[in-house]
Amino acid sequence: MVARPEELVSRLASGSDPDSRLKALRDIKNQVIGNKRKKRLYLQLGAVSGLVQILEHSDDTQLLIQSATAAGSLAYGSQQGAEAFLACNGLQPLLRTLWHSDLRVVEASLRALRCVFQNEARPSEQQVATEAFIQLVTLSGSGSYLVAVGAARLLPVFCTTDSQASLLEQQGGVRKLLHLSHAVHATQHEIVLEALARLTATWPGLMRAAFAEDDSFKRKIEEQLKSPSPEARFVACLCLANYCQGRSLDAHPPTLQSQVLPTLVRLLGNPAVRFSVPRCLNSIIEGSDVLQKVATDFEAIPKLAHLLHAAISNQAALLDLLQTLATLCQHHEANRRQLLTDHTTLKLILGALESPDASVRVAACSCLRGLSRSVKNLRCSLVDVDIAQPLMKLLSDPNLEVQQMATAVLCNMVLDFAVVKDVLVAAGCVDKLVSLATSMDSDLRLNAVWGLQNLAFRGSLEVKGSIMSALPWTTLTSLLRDESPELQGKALSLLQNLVHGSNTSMTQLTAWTGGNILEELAQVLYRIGDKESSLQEHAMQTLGNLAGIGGEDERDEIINNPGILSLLPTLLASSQERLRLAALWLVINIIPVGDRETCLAMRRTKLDHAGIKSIVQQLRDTDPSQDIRERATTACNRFLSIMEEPP
Amino acid sequence: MPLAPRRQRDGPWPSLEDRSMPDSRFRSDTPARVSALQHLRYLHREMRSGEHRQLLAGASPSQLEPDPCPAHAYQGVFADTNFSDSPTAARRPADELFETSESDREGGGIQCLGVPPSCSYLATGQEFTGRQRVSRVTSNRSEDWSVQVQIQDCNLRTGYVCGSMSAENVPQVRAPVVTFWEGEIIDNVNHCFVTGKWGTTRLTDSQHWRQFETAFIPLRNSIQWRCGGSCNKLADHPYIFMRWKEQAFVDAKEDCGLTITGFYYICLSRLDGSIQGLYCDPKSSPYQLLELQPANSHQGHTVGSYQFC
Repeated sequence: MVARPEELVSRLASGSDPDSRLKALRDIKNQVIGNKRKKRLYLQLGAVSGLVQILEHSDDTQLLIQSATAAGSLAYGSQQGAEAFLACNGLQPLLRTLWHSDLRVVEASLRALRCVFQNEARPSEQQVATEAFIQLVTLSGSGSYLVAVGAARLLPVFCTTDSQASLLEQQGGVRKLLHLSHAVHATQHEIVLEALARLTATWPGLMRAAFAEDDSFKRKIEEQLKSPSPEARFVACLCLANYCQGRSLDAHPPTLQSQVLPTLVRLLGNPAVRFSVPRCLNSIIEGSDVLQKVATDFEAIPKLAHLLHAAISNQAALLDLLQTLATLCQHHEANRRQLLTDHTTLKLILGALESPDASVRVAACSCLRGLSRSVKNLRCSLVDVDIAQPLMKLLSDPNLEVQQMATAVLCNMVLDFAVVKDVLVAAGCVDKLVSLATSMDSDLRLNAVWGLQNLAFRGSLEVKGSIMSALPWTTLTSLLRDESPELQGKALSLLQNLVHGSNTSMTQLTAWTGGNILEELAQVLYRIGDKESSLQEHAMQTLGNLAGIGGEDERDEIINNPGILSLLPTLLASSQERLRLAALWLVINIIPVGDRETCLAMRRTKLDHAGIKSIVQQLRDTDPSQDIRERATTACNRFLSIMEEPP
Repeated sequence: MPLAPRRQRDGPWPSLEDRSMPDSRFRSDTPARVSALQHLRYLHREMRSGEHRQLLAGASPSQLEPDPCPAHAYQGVFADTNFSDSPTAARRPADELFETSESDREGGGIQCLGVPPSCSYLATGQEFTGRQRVSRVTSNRSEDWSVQVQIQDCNLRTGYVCGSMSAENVPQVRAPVVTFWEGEIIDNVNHCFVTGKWGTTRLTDSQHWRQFETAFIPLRNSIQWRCGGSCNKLADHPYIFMRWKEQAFVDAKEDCGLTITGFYYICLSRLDGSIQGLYCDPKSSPYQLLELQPANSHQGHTVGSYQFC
């Protein structure tokens, strides 16, 4: 008859008879295996403390084996158990048993360690003494395959820092793992390779060292790509993917494109490994257009989209799938269209926007961001689904990264040709973007101003008016002085779009700026000098827009501004084609068609004195850019309309 | 033997022959209101095209089927050098319909295929306004559709352009009809003069491009029709050629009575941004003319910008 749990726990105490302690240990171990209720009960009774006591003070082999096994059982599948073990300082006594002369004790300790660190938890470098780490590496070369494989499995868990990775290499850890992978039978071979793959995912240099050390190793891994076992094929893919990590495409083995990617894509349909594959696939294709093309040629997108349906309640799998799909859709229109072929996929992605896991929300946003980088999708595909509501909600998400990514999606969704734009504006996106434009986080600030810039692009009079109402002119001027040149550029582009096209009211603009826009632009041009040609270009384009949509007063103001007029010849002669073009358009807009009477005297004098006429003539005749020559021709024709003498 | 002589006219833009039918963008099953005179002209055109078909009956299938538009003109040019058409080969009747260009005959132009440089008027945000002449037969221009076009994306590297087209005054439709279109810029790299799809043949292409007389005639001897229609004179040419294909209705429903099965041959003048287009749809009357000018060209040219995040 088995004693009551309380009694068994009390027998673990040091004063008890050794046989009684051993029996109590065995009983506890047998009771908790596969029984979560019992595990909780023994944890509540403080059994872990008794187990740690035995590990710390006992010399008896059987007691050590049984206590390590029982501790492992309590921790296995129970986060609470693992935490309780670490809280009772059980790690150090367990690590000390790694030097035990009886390999059965060592094997039991290795198993227990694996149970304690089965989840994402990792011991810190301080918790694992260098000697213990070296002992673990040594054990991976043990004559006992069970011990060696057990140690090999733990190496990726215990190797958490660069110094430990160097130590591993110095101690011949990679060589030991290679040797072990050749020696053990198929199942253990996969375990060892998986350990190597996990290890080298963080330190790809270790895999390259392994390949360099043993010529046959790479060949064997490539052979394993044809293994009947899906797990074996997947592990081989992982190893080869790690080998290629951080290397240029030229340095990749030819098998990566011809075998690894097709194998991985096929494995997406294998229930045994399908949810593990996307992360590996993403690590290979991220940053490589060529490899993304290969993956899509093998129909990766429909398979990933199909998996989304199955992964809806598996947040970890959902995260990997969304990240991989996001990678595939960032730059390739064909991939976007392929993903949107099935309308239900989009609904799943939108559903993931409301995931409890912040990283999944970020990945879903990233996916949507990729899909929304297409005029056609914004026009025709991202239409009849409710994107606006969850997106607006994410702008106030407690997680900063989610906010940043949601704002990035919004940047694309508020474009004039996006069907969902009106819904977003009605939902208050203007006020929200304006409030985020003054955020303390620079990325969020950038995205918000970017969103406002896109919103103002070809925006209606009402939309432009609502931006001007929500965003004080002083805020914009401070954004124009932001420390980030990129943000300055977005703020300038926002201003440029506000004075672009026919939907612009000069009255509204003057009221907003207090009539200071010209002075501000002149200051921008003066401040940035020729350091940032793209900023100069936007500033010049904004001036050109002002001259284009404004009346005679605005044109006269521009030409009467000494700063702008003195800068114009320099910009017309700039080495940057885009700057010359922007300056030329300003000149053209200053001399509009049919303006002969009003502008003749004053503007001709000003332009003559500034030497602009001759520069424009020179551009017309000699500029290497056809566009510049053509615009200069237009400008010369405009000059002709106001000059007495042809230029 | 060259194509039948065409009337040469002065001016920046060609004048097209009176060969269009009214309301030709209507589906064929939509009853069109056609005058007796228009109908007679239509029958006359049908007879003429029947003659063409008879003439083409003697041509080989390869000459009647659309050529694939090469992804890279270079491939096409190299392919040309291996053509079985030797200079001594007997010319078939259909060959007479194509003016074989010098480049075709020489298989040359490999080194100097030029890409059209950027143009301020072919840029994101540019708007055009004008009209589509659905009937050139009658002098009543009230039947013309008022058209607005916006360029919403333009990528010279990939030869891609897209935007929206809004048509007003469309018969039987009260609200403006807005469509989304995607375009191909003829750049020798991504797209050439031979369309190779949408039911066209080289003959269709040749006939349509030649309607842009002033813009196209200087190029005609440089186009290699038999290898995709690449041309070595695009680099400094004052016109940019494109094809615009409407992809979807934006505001109107599919059953609004209009069709978007065809596409436009487009010619943009780099100097002033004016555009001429010809609608091509086997189910519609040919040579409907689209005429556009840059919007607000008399006030001033404004530049906006957006970037996908």
